[in-house]
Amino acid sequence: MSLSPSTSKMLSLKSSDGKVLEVEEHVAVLCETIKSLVEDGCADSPIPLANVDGATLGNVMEWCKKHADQKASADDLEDWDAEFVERDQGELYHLIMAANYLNIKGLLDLICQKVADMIKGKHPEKIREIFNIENDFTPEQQEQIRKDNSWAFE
Amino acid sequence: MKAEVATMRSGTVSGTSMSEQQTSADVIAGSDDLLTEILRRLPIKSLLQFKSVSQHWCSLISGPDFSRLRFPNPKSAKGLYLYHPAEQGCLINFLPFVYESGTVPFRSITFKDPQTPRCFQSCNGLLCVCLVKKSCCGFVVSNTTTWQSTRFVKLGGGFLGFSLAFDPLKSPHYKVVCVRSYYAPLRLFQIEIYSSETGFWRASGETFAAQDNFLFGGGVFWNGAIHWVSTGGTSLCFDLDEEKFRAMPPMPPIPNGWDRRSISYFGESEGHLHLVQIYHFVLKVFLAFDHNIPKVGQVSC
Repeated sequence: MSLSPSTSKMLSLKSSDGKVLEVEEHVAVLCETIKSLVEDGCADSPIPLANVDGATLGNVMEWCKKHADQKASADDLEDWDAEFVERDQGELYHLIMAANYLNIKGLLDLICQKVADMIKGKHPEKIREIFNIENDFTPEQQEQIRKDNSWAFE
Repeated sequence: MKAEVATMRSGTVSGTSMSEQQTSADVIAGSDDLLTEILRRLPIKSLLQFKSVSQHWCSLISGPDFSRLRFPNPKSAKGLYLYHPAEQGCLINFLPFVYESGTVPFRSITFKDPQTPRCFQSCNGLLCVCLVKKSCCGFVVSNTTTWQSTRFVKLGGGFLGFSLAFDPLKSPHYKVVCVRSYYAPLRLFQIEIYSSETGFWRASGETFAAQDNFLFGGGVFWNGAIHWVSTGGTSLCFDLDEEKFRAMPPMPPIPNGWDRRSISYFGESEGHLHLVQIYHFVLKVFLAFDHNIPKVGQVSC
C-alpha cells in the first residue's frame, strides 16, 4: 500500500460529537491507531473516534498535516510546534488525551513537555488546584516530606 | 484538505470553559500513564516538591518504574567522589564530569562522627560510609540525588569490609554485604547481608575457607554479584539473587617473575568491571563486559 501524498486517498474520521472530518490518508496515519485500522483494511466507513471531540480532532489533524509535510524542515517544525502549543490549559489536556488515544507519540511528547513547563516551579497547593486533587496527607506527613526533601523546598 | 481542516478549526470554539478544563484536568490526573508522561519531564526540584501534592503523587514519583523512565541509563558515570578521612568523620567531594547549571545541588558532604570512618563506597547514585568502633560498625547510606541518609549498625567483631549493592533498574532497595572472619580453629569467612527492604542483617550461606589473601574490603558490585580479588591470583564472585558463589570472568594471569597480583584499582563503571594492575611500570587494565569476554589493555608509564 502506498501512502505517498500523490496517491493518498481520503479518510473520514467521525468525532465523539458526530462531526465528520475528511483527512488525507498519509496525514491520518500519523495516528498509530488509525494506521493499524488502515493496514487491517478496516478504514472504509467513517472511522468512529469515540474519545475525541470535533474541535480537538481538528487540532490534532492540523498538527498531523504539518508533520506529514515532507518539505517542512526541522527548524520549521520546531517554530510551528512552539506556536501550536500556545493554547489554554483545557485545550492542552484534551490534546494529551487525544494524542494518547490516537497514539501519536510526537504530539504527546510535545504537549506533555508544554504542560510540564507550565507547572514546574509551582507551589504544590497550586498543583492541587489545577488538577483538582485533594490533599490527603496529615500535617505530620506533610512536614516529614518537606524535611526529607528539604533542599527542594528551600 | 486544507479547506476542510481550516473549516473545522474555524468552527471550533477558541479555548475551553473552566468546567471543561477542570474535567479534562481530572482525567489527566486520574490516569497514571498520562500523569507520568508529564511528571517525567519535570526538573528534580519540582518533582520532590510535588511529592507533597498527595499520597498518590508521592507514590508515583517515588516508585522504581518512574525513576527507570526518568533515568533510562542510571549507570552512566556522572562524576567522581573524592574521599577525605578526618579525625572525626570525613568529607566527600563530588566532582562532576560535566557541569550543568542547576542540576547538581551540592558539591560536598561532611559526615561528622566521633568514630573514624573506615571506608566508603558508591554504587549507582548511593554513597555508603562505614564507621568502625571496636566490635560495632555504623553505616550511613546517602542517596546522592535527594541527599537523604539512612543510618544502621552491625554488631560483632571480625569485620573485614563491606560492599554496597544497588541496581535501580531492578529494585529501589539496596544491600550492604559484609564479610566477617573468625578462627574455628582454621580461619573461616561468613557473608552477612543487610537489606534496606527489611532493615535487618542476616548471615547468608555457610561459612567458607579462602586460602588466598582476599581483599574483602574492596568487593565490587557488578552484574548482580559482588566480586573480590586476591593478591594470590584467585577471585570470588557471589551472586546476590541466588546468594551463592558463581564463576568469575577469566582474569589475566600474573606475569612471569611475579608471585602476586599488584592491584592498584578494582571497581565498576558504566556496567564494566575494571581491574588495574601495575607491573614494571606498565599499567595493565582489565575490562570485563556483560558478556564476560575480558579485554586486557596496557599502558606504559
